[in-house]
Amino acid sequence: MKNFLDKEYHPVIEDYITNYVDDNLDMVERDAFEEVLVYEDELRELAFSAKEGLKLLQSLHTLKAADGFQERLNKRLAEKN
Amino acid sequence: MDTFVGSKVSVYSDEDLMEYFQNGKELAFNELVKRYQDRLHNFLYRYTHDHHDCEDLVQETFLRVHKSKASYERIAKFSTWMYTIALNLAKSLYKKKQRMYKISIHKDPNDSEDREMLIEDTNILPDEILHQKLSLEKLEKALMSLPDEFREVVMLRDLQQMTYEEISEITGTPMGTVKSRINRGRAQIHHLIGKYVELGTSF
Repeated sequence: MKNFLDKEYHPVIEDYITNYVDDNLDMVERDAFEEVLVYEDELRELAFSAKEGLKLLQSLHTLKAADGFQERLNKRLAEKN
Repeated sequence: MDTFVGSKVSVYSDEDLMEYFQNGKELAFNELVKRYQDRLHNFLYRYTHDHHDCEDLVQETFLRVHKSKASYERIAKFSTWMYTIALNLAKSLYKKKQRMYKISIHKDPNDSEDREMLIEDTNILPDEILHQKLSLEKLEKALMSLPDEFREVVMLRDLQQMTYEEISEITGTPMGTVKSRINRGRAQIHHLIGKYVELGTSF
């Protein structure tokens, strides 16, 4: 199974990957980076997978505190004081 | 600092609220709880996977904020300081739970009554909902399968929308490493479950 966790690129490349995934590159930078991705298979796989992984993570459920949370907290605070 | 006005509590910054709280305004602390209770639940649930334990941990975080208010210095963002407390508590609980799981999964081989039971599942779900539910479960599992140092930065970024600078401060990790770990953590999650998700409906 492919393991992305081991290899690390030069910090400048890491910055590019981050900004590419976060959509923070301007058009010129993005085109230049995508040009590099055409020839760099491993880098392309990492960047594309990271982008897709982010989409998956954004679908995780958002949880909320249960009703009465603050009252229960205040009770515990009162017990401690 | 200006005089505290209770009716304007919602417009104060976190750092202002903390300073008012340090000066004895309990209402300021209550506002901080209101602002962060859901976000902390969202973050800490990924360490507990149990709503009761999660609430305990969120409460413990706020109790520590309350108790340690004097140690907060305004040079740090309040959220950074509080998440550092929450992360340390979560790590301790996570390690404790891992030890407990190691003990509890073994069944007693000498006990003839200790056997697996088959229970009919009456909660049958339509295919699409079932797939979505399973996909989310797989996603949670994929997240949990990441090594700790990758998982915590991914959660702080993608579940808590923190900046890379804040994450670097909270975890005590250089920013370059934070970015690299987030890139790889996200990619690994896609690699672990991307194909499974594509087979069925999207989330």
